[in-house]
Amino acid sequence: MGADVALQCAAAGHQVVLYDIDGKALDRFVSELPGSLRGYRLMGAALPSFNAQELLARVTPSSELSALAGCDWLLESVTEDWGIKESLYRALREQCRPEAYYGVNTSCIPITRIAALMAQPDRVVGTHFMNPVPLKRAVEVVQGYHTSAETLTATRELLASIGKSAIVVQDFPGFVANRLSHLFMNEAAFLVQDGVAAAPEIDAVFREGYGHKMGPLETADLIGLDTVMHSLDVLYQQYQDPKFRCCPLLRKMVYAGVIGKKVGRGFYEYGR
Amino acid sequence: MDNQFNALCQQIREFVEANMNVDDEVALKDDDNIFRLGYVSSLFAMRLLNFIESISGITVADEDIVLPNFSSIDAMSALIQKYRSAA
Repeated sequence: MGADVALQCAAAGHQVVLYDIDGKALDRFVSELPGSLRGYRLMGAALPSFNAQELLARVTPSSELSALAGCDWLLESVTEDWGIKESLYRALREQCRPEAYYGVNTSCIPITRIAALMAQPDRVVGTHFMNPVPLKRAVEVVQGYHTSAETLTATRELLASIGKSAIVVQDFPGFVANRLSHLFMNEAAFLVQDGVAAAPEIDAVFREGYGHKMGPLETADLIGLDTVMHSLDVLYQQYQDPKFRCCPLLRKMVYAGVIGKKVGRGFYEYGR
Repeated sequence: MDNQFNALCQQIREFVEANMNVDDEVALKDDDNIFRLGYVSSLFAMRLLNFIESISGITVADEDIVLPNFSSIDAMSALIQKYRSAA
């Protein structure tokens, strides 16, 4: 997702430093950019530029953390794992300018907990981008305990500059997006388990009835059932509320390796 | 319509059918709008573009990279035919 955020920012005219510990991921960004831009053109993304050369000229890929030292904004999208985020933020604290803002791209890690690692916790804000970034109009912006009004203003300005609006919510586990969507996906799995309806019917109620673009089970397949299970477990652990208990069928499918689109089979079967 | 062209169209049809999010009983018609009918998500369009280019050897120009050109079997056939006649 970091690659798509970089693409979006570069297309909007920002100078971008793209940092990844894995140099191969940086090479992939460069080699896949023309194809990604064609894809987003096809899907009607409102990017100011689809010119790969023009975008690449604004992007400095680096696997050295020191390359981030001069950045005004750090939009971080590493794996949703507390240990990984913690060690990265401790390192960023040493490397980056004191005036830098930190946008934490997460759907479940508490912003307040990350802010506590930083010298200026008021400059840390949640920026939960949604996939695929260039096609989504809004970003769920999360105000942590210490996030200042000035930081929220700067966040709104940054997002406006890349064509996104900010939906500001408070820092509570799962924020709004995951807290709601995972209940839908989990309950949909319970409906299958209880034999109330099959996956296509459940999704059809959402698509053809409610007019959603996708139903909860095709969404779960797209995200990966392993990821959905993990997020539910995190929500359960943080709220200690049984409404977040993971559906046993969902867990069984994960144990069976039937985890969705990325393996060709989940609640649906996928060709090639 | 030559055999090679028909074979390409058949391959595209099979690719779409293999990726439809609907029951097996649904019969895909050549003029069905596969996105509007919810048979596939619009994200699937990207895979269609890559698939068409890989089986036909054509490179679709930027101005033709628009969803309507990939929205039905008929539209995709017409797109391939356009590039074949231009070649």
